[in-house]
Amino acid sequence: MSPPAADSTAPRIPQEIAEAAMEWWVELQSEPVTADMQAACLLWRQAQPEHEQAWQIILGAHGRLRASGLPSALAHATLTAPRRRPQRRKAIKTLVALAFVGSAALTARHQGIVTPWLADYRSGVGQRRDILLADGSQVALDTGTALDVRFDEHARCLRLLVGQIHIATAPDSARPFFVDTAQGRAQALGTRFTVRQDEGYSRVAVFEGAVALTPRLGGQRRVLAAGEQAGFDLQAIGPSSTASDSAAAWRQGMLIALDMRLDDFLAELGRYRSGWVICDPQVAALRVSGSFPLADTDRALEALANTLPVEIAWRTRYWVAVRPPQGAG
Amino acid sequence: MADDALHSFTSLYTEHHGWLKDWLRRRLASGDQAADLAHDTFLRVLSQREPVVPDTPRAFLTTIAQRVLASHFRRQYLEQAWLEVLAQQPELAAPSEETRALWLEALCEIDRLLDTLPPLVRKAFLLSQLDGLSHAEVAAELGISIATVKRHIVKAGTLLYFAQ
Repeated sequence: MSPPAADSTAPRIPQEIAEAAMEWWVELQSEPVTADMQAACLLWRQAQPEHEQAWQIILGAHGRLRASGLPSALAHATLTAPRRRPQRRKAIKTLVALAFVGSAALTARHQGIVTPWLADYRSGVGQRRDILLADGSQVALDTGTALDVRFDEHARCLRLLVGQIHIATAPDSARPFFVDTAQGRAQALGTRFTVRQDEGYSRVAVFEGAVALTPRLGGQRRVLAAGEQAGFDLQAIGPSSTASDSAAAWRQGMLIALDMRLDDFLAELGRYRSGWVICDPQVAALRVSGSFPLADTDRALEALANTLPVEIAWRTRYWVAVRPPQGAG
Repeated sequence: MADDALHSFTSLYTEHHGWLKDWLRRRLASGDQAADLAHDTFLRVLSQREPVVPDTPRAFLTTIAQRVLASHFRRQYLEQAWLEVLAQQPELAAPSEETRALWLEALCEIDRLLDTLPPLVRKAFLLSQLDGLSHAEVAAELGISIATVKRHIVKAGTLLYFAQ
């Protein structure tokens, strides 16, 4: 399992460009805004691709802040009061009262990835969530997923920030249905499919209908038919392979392995747990087949020890190593 | 991660995890929290993506653990302030637990990103960008000039909007 990512795939905007973009943003919110000022701002945005990127980042982040529904009174009371030393005893009582909030927040933190803040829809590690979109499309969020939804009169657009989703689209001939990832775009052509955002890589599997893939920086576009899956990075789409429904078994709370390498299997299982699952290189190439319940990944790990020549070593609940048996024998 | 780095991380974890948990437990109310924060500390070590072979591993871990503790206490403070607001304005308690959990997480994230800024700068930013007040209205509310309001918004926005 790879270490948690500290950064995201989006390019980093230089500080001075970020500041300049904020200055333009603030100017355009002044009263009155003249046509000259708007024209000058547009010129600045067009001067360099990074200017436009910075502008779009502000638009997106500001939109999410406004759409978060965060009550003003709450934000001001908590964020703009002068700092004071936390009162230990009171704080402990608060923690008890807020046990539900605490556990949700801890889960997100233990995911190790900084979940894109204020995403429209999210699921924590080990959670799955079903949502119904305004057009009747159904979306299932797999473990550790963050998703933004933007619908307007021209298009239905999802942005998968991290994790995996399964989509059953509702028909709407007037508005195309897109899923954007860091690497590019998948357009639904009447369909049921999954999209997954890994680090530096996106994957799409189609179960019904078809999906058109377009990497962000590559002109090449390819249509995947039902039963096909493929991955893509910023430039290119990888070879297609067969997509079986077992790839979406997570929706039923199962992980189905068919002759899967043990290290791949553990990486997959690890997405549903907090902490790390370490695979010893000596056993990495062993093969795993079977169905495993995602609700109890501890049990899934123990089950491995019954069928494979491996031992499960628990250091803490966050740290598990799968290795060759090292017992008395 | 390279095998070497993973190996040195593993040995750091194996040799010092118990000690770190004890160190944290002495500063916290419960053992469960100590386990969680020890985990957070190692997570930060990992995400720095640097070879973990400090000459003085415990001093190294303590430095990072202190940062983890500070944000833990800050979070407790935010939760406390938040409960007080909910107590005064019960209508805010109406949304689902999930919505409230997301709000709290957003608050903590904003708080963390704007950590270095004084309350007045945060306030100017929130009044303009969250509440949608005009620059003149923000200036009147805070008793500062419009130019200062703009400067505050630029400062906070550069930190918050461009956070990855």
